Amino acid sequence: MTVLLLSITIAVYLASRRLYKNVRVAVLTPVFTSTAAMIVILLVFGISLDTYEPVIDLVTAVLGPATVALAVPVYKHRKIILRYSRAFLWSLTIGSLTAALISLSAANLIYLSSQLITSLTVKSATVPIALELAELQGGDLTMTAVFVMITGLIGAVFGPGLLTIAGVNSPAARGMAVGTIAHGIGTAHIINEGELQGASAAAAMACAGIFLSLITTVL
Amino acid sequence: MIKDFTALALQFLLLWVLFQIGTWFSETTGLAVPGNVIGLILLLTLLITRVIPISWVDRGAGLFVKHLGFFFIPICVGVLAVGTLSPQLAFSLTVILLLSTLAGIAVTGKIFQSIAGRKELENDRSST
Repeated sequence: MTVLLLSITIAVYLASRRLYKNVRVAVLTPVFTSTAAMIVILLVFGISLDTYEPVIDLVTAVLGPATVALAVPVYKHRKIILRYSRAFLWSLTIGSLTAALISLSAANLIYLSSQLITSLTVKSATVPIALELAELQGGDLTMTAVFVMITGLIGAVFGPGLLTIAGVNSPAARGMAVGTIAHGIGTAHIINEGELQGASAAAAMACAGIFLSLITTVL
Repeated sequence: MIKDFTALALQFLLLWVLFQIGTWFSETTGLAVPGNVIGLILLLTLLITRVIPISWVDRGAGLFVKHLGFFFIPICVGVLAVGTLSPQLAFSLTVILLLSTLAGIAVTGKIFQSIAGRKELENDRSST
């Protein structure tokens, strides 16, 4: 069953990738369409999440080495990233703080529980970092994972369009913005735009995760 | 063909070993930085110091990076299929997530571009 479900997941991914390549509409980013399609498939065939769990564990185990692999595009574009280290550090700091503070104050405004507030502040970090931070700060783990995923999907689907409207055209800046705020899901999306976008997003994602671990202890 | 496959498998193995070292390091030091990020930094350091030549990881890493999105799908399914929130709470949370994510992206991009200088970046685009 696990092999079958894994094969279906891969098939759905490859199909949605092909669809995205042909249509190029941001809402159809493969992670989003594949997730939606898989949820529908599980519901239609009455497959419980417990049955799907081994696939989640298996693929998530490979997410670790896949993240390590992001060092390669960063390495290839290290000269450009180093040249803009000042822009890199400032935009990372202010951008991460903006996202964290907006969710923090909005959450306080509608009186959310402190558990949910903690989950909201760490949502821009990549999954393993966010979960680790939420655990350290006493946040709700399931909701943290939900927030991280939705943040990644929002960033991937609307981020590039928003940046174009805002007049952010340079590849390094676009990758930087999406990687800092929308972590791995955003990085996986923006890398389709170009390798420099991907490299800058990967570097931003790693640094934003480290930065968030430092500031959540303060906020 | 078999040679290619072995080479690719070895590259995956190397990335996996680096991830394990990162995880081990993160656990023993109790650092809030998880193993995959430490693994990424470790690989980057090894490449820059030329301890590992880029040809040792290039193809395996290329494949992972190209299909990075795939590895998020099952977690997304697992996380989003459990919808048990009240519609009101779900709505306000969605608004907060939308606002903070979009504002964060716009601010980060704008600041990067204004500090780096738009003209210089445009030159990069034509040269890379």
